[in-house]
Amino acid sequence: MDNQDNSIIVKNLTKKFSFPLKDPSSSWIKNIIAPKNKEIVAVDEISFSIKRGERVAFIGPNGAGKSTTIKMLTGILFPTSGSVNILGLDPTKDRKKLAYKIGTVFGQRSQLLPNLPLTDTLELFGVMYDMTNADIKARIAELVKLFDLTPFIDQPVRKLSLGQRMRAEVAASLIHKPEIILLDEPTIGLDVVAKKMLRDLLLKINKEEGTTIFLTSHDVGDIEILCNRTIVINHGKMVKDLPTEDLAKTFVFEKYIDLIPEISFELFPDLPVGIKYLLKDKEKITVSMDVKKIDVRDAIKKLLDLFKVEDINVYSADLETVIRHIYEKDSQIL
Amino acid sequence: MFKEIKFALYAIKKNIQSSAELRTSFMMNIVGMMINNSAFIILWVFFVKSVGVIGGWTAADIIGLQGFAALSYGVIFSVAVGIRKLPDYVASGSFDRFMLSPKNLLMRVATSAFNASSAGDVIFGAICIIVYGFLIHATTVQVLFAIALIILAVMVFFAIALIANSVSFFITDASGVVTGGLFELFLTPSLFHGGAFQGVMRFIFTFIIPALLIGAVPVEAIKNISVHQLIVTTVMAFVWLFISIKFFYKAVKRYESSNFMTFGV
Amino acid sequence: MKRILKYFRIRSKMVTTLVKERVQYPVRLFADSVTVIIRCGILLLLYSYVFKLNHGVINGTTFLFTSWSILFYFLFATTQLKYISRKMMEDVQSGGLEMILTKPISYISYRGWSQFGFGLYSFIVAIAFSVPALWLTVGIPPTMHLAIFIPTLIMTTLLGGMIYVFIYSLVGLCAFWVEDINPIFWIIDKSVMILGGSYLPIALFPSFLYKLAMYSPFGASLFVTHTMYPSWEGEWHRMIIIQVVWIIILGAALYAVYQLAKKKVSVNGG
Repeated sequence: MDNQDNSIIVKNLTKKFSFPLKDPSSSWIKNIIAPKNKEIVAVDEISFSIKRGERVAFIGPNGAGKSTTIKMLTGILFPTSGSVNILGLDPTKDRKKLAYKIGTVFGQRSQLLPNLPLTDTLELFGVMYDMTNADIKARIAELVKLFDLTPFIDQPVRKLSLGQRMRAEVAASLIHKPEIILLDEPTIGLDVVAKKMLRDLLLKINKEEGTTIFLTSHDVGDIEILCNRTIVINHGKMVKDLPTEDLAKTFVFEKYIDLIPEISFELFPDLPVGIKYLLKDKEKITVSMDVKKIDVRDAIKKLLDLFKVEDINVYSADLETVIRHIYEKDSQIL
Repeated sequence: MFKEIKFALYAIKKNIQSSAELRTSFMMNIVGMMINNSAFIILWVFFVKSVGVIGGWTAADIIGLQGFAALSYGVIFSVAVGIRKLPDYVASGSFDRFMLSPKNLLMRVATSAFNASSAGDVIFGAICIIVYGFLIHATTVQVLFAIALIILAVMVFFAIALIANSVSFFITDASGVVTGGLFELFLTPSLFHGGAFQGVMRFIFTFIIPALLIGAVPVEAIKNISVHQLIVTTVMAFVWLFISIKFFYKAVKRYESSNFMTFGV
Repeated sequence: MKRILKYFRIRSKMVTTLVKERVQYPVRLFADSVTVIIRCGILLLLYSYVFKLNHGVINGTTFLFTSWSILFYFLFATTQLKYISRKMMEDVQSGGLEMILTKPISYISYRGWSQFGFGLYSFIVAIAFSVPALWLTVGIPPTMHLAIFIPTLIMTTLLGGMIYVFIYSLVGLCAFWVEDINPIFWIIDKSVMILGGSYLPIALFPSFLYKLAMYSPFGASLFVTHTMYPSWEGEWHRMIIIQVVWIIILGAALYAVYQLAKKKVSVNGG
C-alpha cells in the first residue's frame, strides 16, 4: 500500500452503538435483566486518506459522527467494522505506540493540571513520552516562543483565559513533536481574536514542522482559513470530500433569492426552470437559482410576476451558507 | 413565608421524582446506605461486648444513638442536600442561578438537589429509633420526648452542616475537602459511644461542637426522661439555627461568581 | 533494565508533579491533615477514658498499644488512596478517561500513581505532627524497639497500600457498568474500616472478627494496625505472605476487569 505518503488511511469505517432502551410498559426489573436494545449507526462506511502535511477539516452538524470518528482514529473507540491505519499503525492494536506519534486536543476538555503553571504539565507529558530532560527543556523553550506563552507561563492554568488555555492545550499536545495532531472542536467558545491566533499557530506548525492537521469543527472560519481540504459528514455518512476552494466554487453558479411578502404568501406555484424552492413560508420564501440556466434579471422578473413582494434580496452563497445548505438539504443541492 | 415553604416542598417533590427516575440506582443507594449504617451498629455491639457498660450505656442505647444520628443526617442530606453542594456551587459559579432566583436564597439552595442514599439513612434511622423504643419499653412521655428531640436534632444538624459548608465562600474548595473535613469534626464524635463522653469532652461536644446533641443527649434525655436535657437541647438548637443562618448570609456577601472549566486529568 | 528505569521515571515525575500541585494550597492541605488528626485525637481521648474506666486493661491490651493502632489507621487514611474509586467514576462519566487514553500510559497505572502523589504530602505532614505527639503523651510500645519493626512496618504499609489501591480501583472500575458506584464504595469502605481496626482497634475484636480481619483482603490492606502489638513479632511473616497472596489475586482480578472495561469503552464509548 502507499503508506509512505499517507498519514491516515480509513476504509469503510463504521461504528454502531447499541444501548438499552427503557420500555415504560414493562417492569423495571425486566428492563434491567432483559432490556431491549436500540442500535444507532454513528459512523457509516466512511473512507478517506490523508497525506502527510495535509490540513483537513472534518465538518458536520452536531451528532454527525465527527467526534466518534476522531475517537476511532486515536484508538479510544474500536470500529464496528472497517479499518483505520495511521502512520502504519492500527489504533485498535497499537494505541500506546500510536500515542507517541500523534497529539490530541479536545476543545471541551482540558488535559492540563489546573492548579500548576503550564510548564509542569509540559514536563510531565515530556517524561511520559520518554523525552530526555534536555529535550524537554529545549522543546518547552521552542513552544513558548512559537506559541507566545511567556506572558502566562508562570500562572496556574486555571487562571488562564479560554484563548490562552487553548494555546496551552495545543502546545501541550505538541510537546513530543507528533506527526499528526487531531483536534476536536478546538475553536469552540473562543472569540474572534483568539480564534485567529489559534488558526495562525496551527498553520505555523503545519508549515514549520510539517505536522498533519486533522480537525473537526462547525466553524466555517476554521475551514476557510486553515484547511486546504474539507470532508463533510452528516448522519454518519460522508457527504463531500474536496479541496476547500472547490467547495466554494461548486456553489459559485448558484444564487439565492429571499422574498418578503407584502402581507403573506398563501400560494406556492411551480417555479420556472432553473429556480428551486429552498424555503416555503408565509413570511418568507427562499429560492436558489442556477445562473447557467436562467439569468438573474429574468429570474427576478418572473418571481415578481408570481408573488406580491415587499422586499427582495439576492445573494451568492458564502461558505457558511453552502455548508448550512449541505447540512439541511444535502440531497437536494448536491 | 407560606409560599416559600410551599415552593420548597414542590422543589423537593420534583427532586425526588427526578432521582427516582433512575430506579436501580435509587434503590441501590437506599439499600447500600442501610447496609453501610448497620456496620456502625455491629461495630459498637462488639465494643460493648468487649468493653462492657460505660457511663450507663448499653447496646440498646447505641442503637438509639445511631438511629438519631442517621435520621437527622438523612433528613437534611436527602431533601436539603444542596447545602452539601455549596462548595461545588461556589467554585463552579453555578451559585449564580440561586442568586437570581426569586425565592428565598437559603431554601432554594438547600432544596436544589435530592440524595437517594440519605433516604436510606432516614429509613434506617427511623427503624433504629422504633427498635430502641421497644427495647426500653417506651412510655407515652418518652415517645413525645423522642418526637420533640428528633425535630431538635434535625435543626442542629442543619445548622452545623450550613456553617461548615458556608466556609466555602471564604476559601476555594471545589471538591469540598475543607468543608467536608470541618463537618467530620462534628459528625465523627456524634456517632461515637455516648457513654465515653465525660467531663471536658462532654462539655466541648455539647456546647462548642454540638455533636452530642444529634444523638447521645437525645438518647439520654429519653432514657432518663430528663426535662433538663430536653431544655438544653431546645435552647441550643435554636441558638445554632440562628447563628448558622446569620453566618450563611454573611458568607454569601463574599461570593465571587467565577467561571470554571472542567479539567480532564 | 531500561524499561524499569523508564517506568520509574514516569511514575516519580507524576508523583512529584502532583505533590507540587497539592503544595500550591497550603490551607487546604493543612485542613486535610489537621481534621484527620483531630478526629483521631478525639477518638484517642475517648479511648483513654474508656481504658481508665476498665483499670487500664481491656481484652488483655492497654491504651499504649491501641492508641498507636488507631493512629496508624488514621495516618493510612490521610493518603486518601481510597478516593481513586471516585476519581475513576468521574473519569468515566466526564470522559476524562479518553483524555488519558490518548497518552502512552496505562490508565490504571496513571490513576494509581497520581492518587499516590495526591495524598503523599498530607500523609507526611500528618506523620510529622502526630507521631511525636503520641510518643510524648503515651510513649511507645516495646515492639517498636525491635530491629524488625521499621523494616516490617514499611513493608506491610507498602504491601497494604497496594492491596488497598487494588480494592478501591476494582470498585472504581465498576463505574463502567453501574451508573453510581457509591453504594458499592460504602460497603467495601465499611468492610475495610471495620476490619482495618478504625473505631474498634483489632485488639478488641472478638476472635471470629479477628480471623476475618486476618484472612480477608479488607483487613490485609491495613495490617499496619497490627504492627505495634506484641504478637507482631511472631506473626509478621505470615501476614506479609497473606498480603502478597492478596496482591497476586487482586492484581489479576484488576487486570482482567480492566481489560473488560477497556473493551467496553472501545466498543460502546463507555
